Amino acid sequence: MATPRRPQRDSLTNEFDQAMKPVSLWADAWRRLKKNRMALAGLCVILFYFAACLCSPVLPIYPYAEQVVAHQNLPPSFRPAGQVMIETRTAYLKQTMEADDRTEFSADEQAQVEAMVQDVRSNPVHRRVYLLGTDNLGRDLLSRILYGGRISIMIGLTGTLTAVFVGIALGSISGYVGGRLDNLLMRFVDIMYSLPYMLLVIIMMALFGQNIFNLFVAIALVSWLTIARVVRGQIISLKNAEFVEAARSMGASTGRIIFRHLTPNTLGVIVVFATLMVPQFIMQESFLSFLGLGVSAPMASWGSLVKEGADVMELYPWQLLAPAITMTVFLFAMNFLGDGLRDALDPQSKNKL
Amino acid sequence: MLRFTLRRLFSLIPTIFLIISLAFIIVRSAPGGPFSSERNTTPEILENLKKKYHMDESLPRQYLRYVGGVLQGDLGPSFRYKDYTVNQLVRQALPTSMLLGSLALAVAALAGIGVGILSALRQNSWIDYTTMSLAVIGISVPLFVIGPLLKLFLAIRHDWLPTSGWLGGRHGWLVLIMPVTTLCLPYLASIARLTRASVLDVLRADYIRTARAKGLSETAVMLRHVLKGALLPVVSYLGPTFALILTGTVVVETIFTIPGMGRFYVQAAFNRDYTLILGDVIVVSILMMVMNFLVDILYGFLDPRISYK
Repeated sequence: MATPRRPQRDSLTNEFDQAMKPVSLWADAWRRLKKNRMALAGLCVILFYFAACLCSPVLPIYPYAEQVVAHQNLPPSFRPAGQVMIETRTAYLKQTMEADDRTEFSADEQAQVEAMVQDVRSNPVHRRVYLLGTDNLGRDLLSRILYGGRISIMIGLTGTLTAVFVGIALGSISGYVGGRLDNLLMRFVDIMYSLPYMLLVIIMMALFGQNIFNLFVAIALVSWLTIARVVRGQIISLKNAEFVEAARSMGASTGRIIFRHLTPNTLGVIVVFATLMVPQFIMQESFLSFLGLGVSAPMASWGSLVKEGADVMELYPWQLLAPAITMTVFLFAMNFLGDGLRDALDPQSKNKL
Repeated sequence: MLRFTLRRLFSLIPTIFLIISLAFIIVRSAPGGPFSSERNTTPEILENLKKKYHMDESLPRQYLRYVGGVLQGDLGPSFRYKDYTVNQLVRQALPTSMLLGSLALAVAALAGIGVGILSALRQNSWIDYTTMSLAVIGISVPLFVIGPLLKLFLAIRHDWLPTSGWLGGRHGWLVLIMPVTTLCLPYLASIARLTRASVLDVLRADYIRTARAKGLSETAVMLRHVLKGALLPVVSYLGPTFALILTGTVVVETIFTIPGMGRFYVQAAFNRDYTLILGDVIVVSILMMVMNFLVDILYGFLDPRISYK
């Protein structure tokens, strides 16, 4: 009679006594996420954006605030700026010539183009290539979009991190301790929810001045509300679970139970929320920038670039299209990744809001 | 039901006071004042100006005076638009913003719910995939990108729609199309996603199986049971959405030069037009609360489990 084989320590066995590899929540989620092609594509796009924006100081691009007066409003092109300059000028002169019913350039116009050609030959600055064109002050749009992306993404990330930390802390404590404290905190959250928040932010930015710090404070002020509510709900549903009782019976302190045992169990939900929050922050920041309340010149953010582009879109559409498309692609990727993460971490929910 | 309604209405009063007080504190703690940009003012003139607007009194007294006025429905005189009271300014601008906002909300809700139900019923078909991908685009593209792009292609490149303006001009109701489309798209997309998810949830619920088991026709199941249950989360989303749309009108009004409340928000704050800022905040907050209140009431009709006592 064979003695039943004792399972080895630290290994799982199923009912047939076969060894099983333990699968953590995260490994499982990653396996599911890998199957979701849109989410993976989103992840790649986001990583590319992060890399490009992070490296923008060392990339071979022109300084984002440097104005070259001669290079105003040049369209996107792979060729050197000088050539583009001459072409746009000639095209413009041809247009006026046809409008005036002439067949030749006047001496004055001829001289103008000659001078430009001379200048282009002698000045090395005209050898620059503006892949995305320039704005109305002759600044490189590619460089401005990259540096604007740094600001936009930074605000998105710092806002989210603040929201996550404050939200987890207050939500966990409120949910675990319960009673009076819980009532008080949740009543406060309710009141904050009933404020016309964006209107207050607009007013505060206009009153206290436009700088990044104010922007950050205004956006982070109420961002933690939703996370706090969600975490609280999760904690309340978990706090009577057996593993909490076990921890308590072994003498774990309240703080330890909250932050070592309960909070990690809510991380899945938080990750999903955080991913979807980044695009929201970026949108809010750009919303303010669009109203002229965001970052101040010569700094740029995607919102302020879209705003500047929209002002001149009739004549120079690329100045609107380039930042608008850049920003939309990023937000798009973030949303796809967020959806993918939600499906991966919580297979039961199907794209809930 | 009536008692619940009344109690709910009364509970709004402290919140409104809180909002007024908070806004008062924020506005008054900002540097500068309404008269700091006046040129060539002698101290005497400044003194008289201050007296006229009761700015010479202590802050608590000013606060009480203001709240007293608000209780009587008087939002005070505007500091900047000297010939107007805030009431007059709001009365001129609010209907425009409300029309724009309500139209956008109505379009977003109706179209969003329709699209959501359609893609839930045809789950995993090409309709579902297309509409849901479009929905992600919808929530990813900010208002101030959609607006200028629509304007660029529909009004500037092609002369199909008027670039700007409002009702009463020579273009008639055509001026409504672009602003309403711009304003409703993100919310339409969110509502479509939400509806789809909640219809899928409800379709799996036990009470739907019961309804089918007792022999109800598929149409009856869909209309009486699925739709009613699935609309709950959508309805609760409408309250906050209305608030977002109200602030979203700022951008749309800027892009399409519409004479609504939006232009006051930023300008009033820059001008330190204290009464106008507070008036804006109060009006928008009350609108938000009324909307949330209506949503609560609607909720009770849709969900028999909720009883208002």
